[in-house]
Amino acid sequence: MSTVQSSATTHDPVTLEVIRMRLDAIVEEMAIAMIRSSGSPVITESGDFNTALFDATGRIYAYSNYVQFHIGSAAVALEGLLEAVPASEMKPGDAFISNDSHTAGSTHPPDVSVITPIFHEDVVVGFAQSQAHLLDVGGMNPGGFAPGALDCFAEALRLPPGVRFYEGGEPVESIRRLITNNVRLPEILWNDIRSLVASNTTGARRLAATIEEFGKETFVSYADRAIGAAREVVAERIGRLPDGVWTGVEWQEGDGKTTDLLPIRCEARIEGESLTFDFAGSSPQVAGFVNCSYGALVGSVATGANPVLAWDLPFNQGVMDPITITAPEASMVNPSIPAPTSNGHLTVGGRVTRLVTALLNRIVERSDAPELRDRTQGVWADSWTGGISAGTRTDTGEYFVLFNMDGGLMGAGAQTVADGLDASGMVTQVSNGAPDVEMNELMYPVLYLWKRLDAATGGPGGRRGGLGVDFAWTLWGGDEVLHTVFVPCSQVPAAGYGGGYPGGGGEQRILRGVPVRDALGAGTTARPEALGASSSELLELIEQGLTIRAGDVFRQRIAGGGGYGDPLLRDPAAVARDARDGYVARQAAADAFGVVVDEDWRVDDDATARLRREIRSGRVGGRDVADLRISSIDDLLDAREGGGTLTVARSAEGWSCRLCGGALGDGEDWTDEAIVRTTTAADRLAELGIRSRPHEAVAVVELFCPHCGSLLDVRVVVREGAA
Amino acid sequence: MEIEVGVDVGGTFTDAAVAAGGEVVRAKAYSTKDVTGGILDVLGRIREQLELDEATFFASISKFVLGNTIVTNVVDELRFPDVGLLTTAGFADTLRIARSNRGPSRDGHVQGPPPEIVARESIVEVAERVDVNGDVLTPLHRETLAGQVRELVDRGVAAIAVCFLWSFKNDANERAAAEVIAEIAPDLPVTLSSELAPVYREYERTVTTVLDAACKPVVAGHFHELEAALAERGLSTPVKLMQVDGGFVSVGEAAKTPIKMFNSGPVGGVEGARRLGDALGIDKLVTADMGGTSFDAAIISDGEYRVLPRAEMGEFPTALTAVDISSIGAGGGSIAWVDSRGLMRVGPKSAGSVPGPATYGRGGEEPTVTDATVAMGLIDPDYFLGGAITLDRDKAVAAIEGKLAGPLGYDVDEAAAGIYRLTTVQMANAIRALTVNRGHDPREFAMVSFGGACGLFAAEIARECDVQRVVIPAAASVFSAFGLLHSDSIFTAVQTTPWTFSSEIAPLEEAFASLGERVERWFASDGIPEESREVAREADMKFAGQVFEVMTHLPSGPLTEDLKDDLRERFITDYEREFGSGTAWTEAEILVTNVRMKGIGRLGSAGGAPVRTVVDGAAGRSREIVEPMTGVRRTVDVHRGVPLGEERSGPCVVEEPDTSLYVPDGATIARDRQGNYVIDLPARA
Repeated sequence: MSTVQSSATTHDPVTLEVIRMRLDAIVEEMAIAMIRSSGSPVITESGDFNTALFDATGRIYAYSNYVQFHIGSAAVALEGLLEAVPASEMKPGDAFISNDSHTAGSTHPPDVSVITPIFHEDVVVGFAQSQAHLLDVGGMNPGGFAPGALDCFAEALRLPPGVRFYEGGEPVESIRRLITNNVRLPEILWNDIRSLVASNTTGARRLAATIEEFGKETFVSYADRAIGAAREVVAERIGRLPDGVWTGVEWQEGDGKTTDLLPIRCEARIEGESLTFDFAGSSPQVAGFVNCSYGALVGSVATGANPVLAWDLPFNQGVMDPITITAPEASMVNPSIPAPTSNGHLTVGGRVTRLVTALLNRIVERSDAPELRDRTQGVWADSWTGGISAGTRTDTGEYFVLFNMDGGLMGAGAQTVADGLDASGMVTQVSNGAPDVEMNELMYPVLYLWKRLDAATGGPGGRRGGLGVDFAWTLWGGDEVLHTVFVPCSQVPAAGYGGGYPGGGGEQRILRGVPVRDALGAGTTARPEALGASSSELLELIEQGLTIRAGDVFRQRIAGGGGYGDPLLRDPAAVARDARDGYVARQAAADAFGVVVDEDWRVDDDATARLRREIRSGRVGGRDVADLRISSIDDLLDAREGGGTLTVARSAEGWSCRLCGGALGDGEDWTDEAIVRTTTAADRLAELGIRSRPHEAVAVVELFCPHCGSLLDVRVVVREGAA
Repeated sequence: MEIEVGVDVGGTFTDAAVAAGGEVVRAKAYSTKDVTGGILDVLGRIREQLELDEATFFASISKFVLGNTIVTNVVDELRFPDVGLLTTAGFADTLRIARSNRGPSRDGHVQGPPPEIVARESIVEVAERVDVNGDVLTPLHRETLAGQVRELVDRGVAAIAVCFLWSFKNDANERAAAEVIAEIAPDLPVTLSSELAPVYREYERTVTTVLDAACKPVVAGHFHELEAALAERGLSTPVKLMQVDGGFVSVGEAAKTPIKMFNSGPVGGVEGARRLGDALGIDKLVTADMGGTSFDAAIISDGEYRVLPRAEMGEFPTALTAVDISSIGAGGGSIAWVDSRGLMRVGPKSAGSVPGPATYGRGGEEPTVTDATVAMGLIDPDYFLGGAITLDRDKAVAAIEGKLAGPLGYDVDEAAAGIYRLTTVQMANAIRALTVNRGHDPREFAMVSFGGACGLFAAEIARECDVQRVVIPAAASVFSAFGLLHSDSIFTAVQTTPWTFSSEIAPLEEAFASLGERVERWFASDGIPEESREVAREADMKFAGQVFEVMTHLPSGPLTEDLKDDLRERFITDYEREFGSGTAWTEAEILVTNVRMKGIGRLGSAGGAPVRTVVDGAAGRSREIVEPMTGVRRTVDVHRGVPLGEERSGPCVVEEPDTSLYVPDGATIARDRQGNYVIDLPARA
């Protein structure tokens, strides 16, 4: 309420909301203009783009609900433009193009940004900006992902800030020729660039008319106030979090040159109403293509912070104002020339979002505000899993690049209100979409054998983590393709929260020598075990130069999200449904959730109660365990009063388990009293029916209540030195 | 005397517009659960106005078109019996994966999967496969399938949907599956995707097929009951049902594909607006239909509304082609609230019809848009629906005071005007998105406004989006029925037929020839007289590399090689009409994806008949209102109707028994010869 009281004297709140709605409508109209005129399935099907309006100094007025990464890359691109070309030198009809990660903040080089200045009485009053992932931007690999690149020069044609490629509303022919000469699909690229221009033209026209309507002074004053209103809400929410310092680490699984686990470290600091994410100590920049541009870093942090601190706010600069981001130069999270960056956003960027989510979980769980505590969640898989195939069709002789957008079909982290979303996309991919099987089969010479949810991926929990997808195709109308792959999350899984387990990891295989025609004739192509492959190659996490031939089958399995709360708290009926539907293996229903399901998929209540008690007992070394006061996740969520976390209460007497009431000491931290079990992640998760690629350094740490054997927390830990 | 009837069965009211003796009369009655009762009631009221006895009335009816919400409700509420789904082995999760349908919210608590329309255990994977070329790779094994179908039937499914990959390229396996089902359960309704929606994209096709199958048991019987009840009273003409693509078909045809009845009421409204535009000689108009929970808008340009493939139904994208109606969740029932920034918002939550706005006095406590109009004095609480329902102004004021004005530090007038303004701006934004994004300039448009509360907002919405003329049809309160009355009989046949200009035109013509046979069969079975038959050919085309197609009209005769240039030009013209001149990808190849043939039966003769009016003129009253966009109190004239040929100046309120209009300062209102109200707004500087 403070907002209105402090501003009512100068700003009419209704007009404020009218202008806010107008700005949001404009960025959405820009998006529609782009979608409807674009040819790229990456834009039209998967929503891998953004549209935004900025003020004359580069602050975000409005941002459409598509990819959230670009919140950072768009802002950095505009900052770079204003340094390269002062607004005073811009003219109506100008448009600028950029895609360089180092100088123009681009998420990665295929994310091409177009910025159009907006004029009012010959003065620049703002900017329209559109950025989309275009199919090819030159460089050594079709599709713009270049695992083999040694530097950014090999990755793409690099357009820095300040390339004025439209003048007087017309394309600059020399620049068009330069660009189209350097890419593999020149017509499609140029058409897509035209759709970015069309989007900006819509935005520029509409913003100019809006300023005209309200008068410049009034408009600017109200737009500033809208930013202020958003800032005040986020600042007030940060103010309700405890002051302090939290540290965390996530791990990039190699870079294509090394298979080492590479650290991304972050210290989150709350001081009053400000929040700092400091990435000091993160890995120096690496030789492979996983370096995350500064623009992508800012976008990845915003992506993680938004759903926790600003889930209900119309997005503008004010949301980000109370948040400071720092990162050491020449590091993997803020690389310098010549570091390659073509997959930094999907790999390290995704890990940054995971790290921000995990840190905010630990911060907001201590808040006195229930609506903020409710924002704790299982970590999302954030593992955009790539398969890029290039080749020539045998039927038409046409060259094609299949950049398979099915790669976005990973699982979300479980929420307080629901299970994690299956096939969700990354957190950043609001409005995500994936192609139909028929769409891919129509456009590319592939035949899908199956495409289904993968039971080995959803992190067990009171609320289950979302499932990733498992699909396979064989060439159909092509003899062979050159294949590039990457799996961001395979060995270090997405953590759960509050006793929820991590989700499963991804993997890719090429099955060689499959008698596909025979299997089709027999109707057994949907069953992996019945394909009769002569070999099954497990692919490296990042690999290029692979060849897939007719008669081979490419299989991709995508990671899942973390669970929420001890899986023994999950409603047994929900577990039985999952088991019946194939979303949890029958064995895992018992082993992970302690639910006994009969032949007809009904819960055996008595056997379940016995098994759950046995499991709790087993956790604490086979001792008798205390009865539970709370035995369902819903009751646990309702029971959160006073200090502490989801599972542990804090009172004057000290710590206690919320599930049984048992005391957990009065030390600095309750974990001293917990029973701790540390196991290699792949082994432990396999016992629960969850797949994780073995790595000796990656462990799962389970913390049990010594009284009742409930899971109070599960952590994913990498033993440093062994990484 | 020949009588033509349009009836629209809505959730609350059943409306009728009836052409008889050279004029159109209208009536409203409450809808009844059995549908038939409400229809008989409303026809009774019409009969009273026409002063005809029952036998004469029903015997004179030569055209009877019905729009209804039965299917719309089934889809919106997802209340239907269990359906079984047969799907290609390996792809049982298609509906669950839902193309990763995240939706536009950044709030992880709001993002969710689309609702489940088939229980997972009723989805059966069938070993079968057809490829992109239509080659059968895995033939259906009938004995195995028979076992699977028996299990489904034993489980008690009320219908079965069959959707296999690429079945529209080769329907052999789907047909075989239908035969197997028919042997086991001959009476069980079945929908084949290759029959219902033979177009690519299996997610949308599966959704559509399942919803269609789900509607079959719900719809079955409903219309036969109605037909019987009407026949008993002497109706001799067959009842026709409105479809989502803007035409009507016989009861028998509609029952084969019930899903196509979705949204048939609003489609009637758009059809009515098109007819009105024709009659008034307006080239470009935008419809504005504000109901209790939604605001619908559609564009009609050069006498045509857009028909869009991949139409959305409720929360689902479908494989159907439908009249392009944009809908936002804002209407009279939308709730105003204070957000975390301390600012007022309106919607998307709605008080619905139960409990409804606070002013209805049925337990609603949240302030709604309707409450704002009552509090502001725009609606006379004692003259709502001509006094049929009494509104409680105090309850409206109390809700606004307690939930909004108090927390915001406003007085009630300011808060109510704030609700009005935010509502108006939302709707204007929606209309702008429609017009500007299609490359139109809203200043060239007239707005046709109908539906419950729209008259109070239409002029201000128009002003917000630079539209200068608003037409409120004489039949505004029953406008969907009015549209139904004037509609044509249409049957659409479609087939995905990939084709490029570099190939011979013969296969394209062959596809049209086979569609033509289906259309001819329909003409015969629906009894369309030879002289009323028309055929239109269309193709969905795109530039190579694009995803979305643009519908292009083709010449009506057979396609020959020498017509290729003409085809290319037609597409580019239609494309640039959609996206603006100069946007065509002139370097790219042009592809055809779907070909479509429409059979049209132009039936009826009601066009142009004036609407009978009941109120004429009584002026000279005045009332204090809150001026909506400023929040200032002033006294304005209140007219009970405006006489034909006269004009009144704003600010004023015009009240008719079934609708109220607000005319802002600077605008004028007059009535044309057909009885329509026309509000003219001054051009904005």
